Amino acid sequence: MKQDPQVMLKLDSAAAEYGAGDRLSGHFLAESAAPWPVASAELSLLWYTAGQGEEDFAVHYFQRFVDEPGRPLDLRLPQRFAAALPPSPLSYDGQIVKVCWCVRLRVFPQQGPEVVEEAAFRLGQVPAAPGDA
Amino acid sequence: MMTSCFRTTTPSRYTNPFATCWTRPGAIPFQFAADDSAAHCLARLAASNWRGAIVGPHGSGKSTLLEALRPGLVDAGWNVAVIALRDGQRRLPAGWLRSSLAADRPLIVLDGYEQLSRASRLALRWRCHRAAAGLLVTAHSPVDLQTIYCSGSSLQLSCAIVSRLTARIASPISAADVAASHARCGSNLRELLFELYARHEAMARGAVVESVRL
Amino acid sequence: MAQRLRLFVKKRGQRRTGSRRLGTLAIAAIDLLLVALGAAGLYWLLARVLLAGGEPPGWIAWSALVIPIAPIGYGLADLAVLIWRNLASSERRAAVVQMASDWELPGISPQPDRPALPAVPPIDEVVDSPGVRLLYRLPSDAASGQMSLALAAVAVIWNSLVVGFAIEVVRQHMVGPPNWLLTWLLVPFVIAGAWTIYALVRQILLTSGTGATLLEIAEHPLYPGQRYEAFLSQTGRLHVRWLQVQLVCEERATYQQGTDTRVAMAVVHRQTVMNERKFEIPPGGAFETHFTVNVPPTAMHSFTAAHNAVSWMLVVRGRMARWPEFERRFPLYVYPTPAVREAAAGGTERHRVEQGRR
Repeated sequence: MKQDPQVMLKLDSAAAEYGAGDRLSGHFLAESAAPWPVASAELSLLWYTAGQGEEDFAVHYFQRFVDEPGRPLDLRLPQRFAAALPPSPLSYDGQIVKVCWCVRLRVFPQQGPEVVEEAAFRLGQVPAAPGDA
Repeated sequence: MMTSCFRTTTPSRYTNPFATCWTRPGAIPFQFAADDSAAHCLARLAASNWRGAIVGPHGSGKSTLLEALRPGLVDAGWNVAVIALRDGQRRLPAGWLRSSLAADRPLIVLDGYEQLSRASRLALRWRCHRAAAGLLVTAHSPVDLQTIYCSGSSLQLSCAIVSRLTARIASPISAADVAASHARCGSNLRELLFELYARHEAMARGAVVESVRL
Repeated sequence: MAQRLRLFVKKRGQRRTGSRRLGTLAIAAIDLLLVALGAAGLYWLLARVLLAGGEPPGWIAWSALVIPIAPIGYGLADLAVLIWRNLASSERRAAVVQMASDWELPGISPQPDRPALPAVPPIDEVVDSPGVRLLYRLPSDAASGQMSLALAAVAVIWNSLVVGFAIEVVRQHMVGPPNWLLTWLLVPFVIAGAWTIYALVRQILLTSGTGATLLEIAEHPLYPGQRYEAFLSQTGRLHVRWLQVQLVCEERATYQQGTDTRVAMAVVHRQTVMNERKFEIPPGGAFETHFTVNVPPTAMHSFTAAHNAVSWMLVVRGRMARWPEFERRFPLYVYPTPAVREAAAGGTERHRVEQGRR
């Protein structure tokens, strides 16, 4: 039975902790024995909120990888990315508002549904909010 | 003097299984009680001449249940017309009822029945009766239609939903915590989930402090 | 999820109750229909009316072109948005929107003093308000003023209606057989009107009785781990039981489900920075004091988004003799530390959304 390729998204920093202005880098690839035709892949560096409110989000960095006739997109080979991080908003583990950073990868295969992978990381050193003051 | 300690986990939506992204409408399919199902609800509605009400407080899943019943209504041959009344909306939009009842074998689904004035409710029921149309409404308390389902959270149901949420994201919330929240929130599942969110956060922070003491 | 096309389906919030593809096709069909109708109307207007010969039409006749052009424009724009939404992921759409906001329009100079801090609220309302003793005067939260205005509006409107009915009732009593049903029905409305007047007078007395609160601060914005000089001036009645100023950090989350909007708030930091008890304010004078505000080194910076916020503020609370407790809030803005900002500014890429090329 044919198995779907496993998409892996990894950051170069094992701790996944960064300061403002640091350079975040990493790579992604698809583990597949057979060729996996992909139309495009989109990599975003974004923050979003979680908690008790509606989700807000904003994209800081966006990169699109496209399968072109002269340059086929083969995700079995590692695809590198890198970007400088902004000064805000810093990651924040609040009580009802959390500010979360992640790298999100969307792969659009030629056939089949899109595949989404995320790798969370921390920006800044703001500690978690304590209990009710 | 004990020094304070803070969580060092990277914040993400995966740190609390009760965050709104996991509990918003549509994220959790409607959970029927063990001995109930969409088919049973539809059977009760059919037995009351396709006129009935789903009754339940805020946040108890009435709208979600309407969506769960819709495929069965369509399969039964009804032309389903749905409308949800917003706060302060005391009348149906002009022309909407007339055009809906003009369809072949119409069934009106009204979310927020008690927001209609008494006169509008009488007119709605009369016109549905004349058109031989079905009528399924939602309300926060029993109304002048047969109640086919009382949405609300039994403790068993709350536990089932919590189990579903915590299957993906671990939580120190125990069955006793769910029972305590259920006792406070009653049938308001939405408030129960908000309360469990806060409790999960408090316990997650307290657990870290406790480990520092040791 | 339902797969068949269903008519008269009301979509609830973000949930889809029908087939997404069929819904998209239906919207596209409506857009094309609008464009077709507009084009047909435009052709008819030009060929049969404006360019039909005879006397050249005036500008008013030409302005009728707006009528067929409007549906063409709307249909094409909606079609373009529909295609874009269905072809582009949410991240790509957000990235394009953010790039557009970075564009500088010709003739409009950028604001060099505004720091490039995404999701951090600007401090314009503070830095535009100079103080007398210190550099900046903090604007207060307008809640109490808004309350007075709201009560005044309700009192005026309600009592105007009640007076109108009362005049009619009195007239009926004077000229003929009185309408006792209307008379008795009027009683609860009169009671409610009297209560609105009482609430309004109480609010006005409360606001004026406790006097004005002025807060000033030496620097702005604030940074974690720093100390700031602040100044408080409080007027009011003679005897003060207690007066305190607290540094407060509050999280706010808004959640909308159907017709319900739920706003949750949580206070994550509360620290008393000034506390005085049992003192007198001289008549016509004011209680004045300097104090220090220490921003915790672990403080999260001010954060604002459409539905979520982290806000800092100074809260002045107090109690005058024979008056209820009062509370006034003065927003503050805490920014990421200067070291954080410098590190980010020294990076090889200015903060903007990047479009990478493989």
